[in-house]
Amino acid sequence: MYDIAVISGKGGTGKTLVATALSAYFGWDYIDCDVEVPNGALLLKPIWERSYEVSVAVPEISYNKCTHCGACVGFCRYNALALTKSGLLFFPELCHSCMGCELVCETKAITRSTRKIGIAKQGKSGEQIVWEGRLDIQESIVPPLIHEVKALSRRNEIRILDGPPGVSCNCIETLKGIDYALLVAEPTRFGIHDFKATVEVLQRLGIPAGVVINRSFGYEEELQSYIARRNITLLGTIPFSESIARAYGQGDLQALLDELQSPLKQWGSQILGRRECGKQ
Amino acid sequence: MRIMISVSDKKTDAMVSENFGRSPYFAFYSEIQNHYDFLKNSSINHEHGAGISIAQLAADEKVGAIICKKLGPKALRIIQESQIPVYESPAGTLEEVVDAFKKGILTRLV
Repeated sequence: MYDIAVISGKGGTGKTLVATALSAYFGWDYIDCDVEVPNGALLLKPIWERSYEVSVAVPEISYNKCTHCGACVGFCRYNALALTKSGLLFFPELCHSCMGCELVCETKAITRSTRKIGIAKQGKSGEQIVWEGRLDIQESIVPPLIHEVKALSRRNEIRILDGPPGVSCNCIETLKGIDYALLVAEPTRFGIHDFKATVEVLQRLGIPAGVVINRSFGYEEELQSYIARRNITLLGTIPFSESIARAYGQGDLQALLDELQSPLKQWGSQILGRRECGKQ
Repeated sequence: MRIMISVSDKKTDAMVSENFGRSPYFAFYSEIQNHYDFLKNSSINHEHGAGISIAQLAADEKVGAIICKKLGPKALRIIQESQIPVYESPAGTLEEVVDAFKKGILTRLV
């Protein structure tokens, strides 16, 4: 078992391009952890086999038992509860499922219930195992779904976790317990800014990382010198090419694999080489 | 009656702030005493639900009216359920807006 998460900071730098192509090339499990907009399946085109509902715990209020004492409102760190003249109000989209409100309620007016936030599904693209987490429309609580899709897809194989953009809770949940982070950097102002933030997070978490520079023009000194300074491995680059963009835009995985065959092979073996070092 | 107004600073010539939940300060104006109290917004950096905690504050403080520019949907629900009237603030300083309220020329939103 070896988990490689593909993350980037800035969105649209090419995480899914790298994650789908790399996993397909080696036949590694592909897990779409970008549950707000999962799109790896557009390239991998799996045949779905199983689907699981993912729920979180939420308080259920028995209004006839509630004495309007406000203990639960005072306890909730996420402002998910409010007390008004007409009684207790609950805002499910803010609830983080800690169930502290249930603990502090002296009249047992609050009990534990559940609320569905999305689904996790598993399919196959040829022989390759593909998993996807998909958040329900209008939901905003993401980490429990990422946690669940990671737990369900766990088996004794190499997995590529296609991560969400940013470095917020969603990214951290994806990074939890992984072995290696594959960063996809973009040589633009915005791209470099977010790349640095992502590197900070990885170094604080102590996760080894390698970088692929996407949309490379061949002169990204700032990015390259930063990568060298922070002791991260530069695995390689993907050129800024119309044929790659076209293949990706059309969801043509085979064309991408044809274009990127030799770099994919090289990056994969570098990552696996690191894994062997780690074992010793 | 006490009136709660979202303001940018803790002084009577401060401007009414653009947001309710994330307003830097709140002024509590007592009509009887013709006096202002100011409170720093401790919820301003809450990642989520700043409006909810401030609306809860308004309900707990049993204010008679709220004057602000914008109010989010969650805060609005609490304010409505607490039966607190909300008045839309024009651009202006705290004192000007309170004067306008006393003259009865502010538009009631809720």
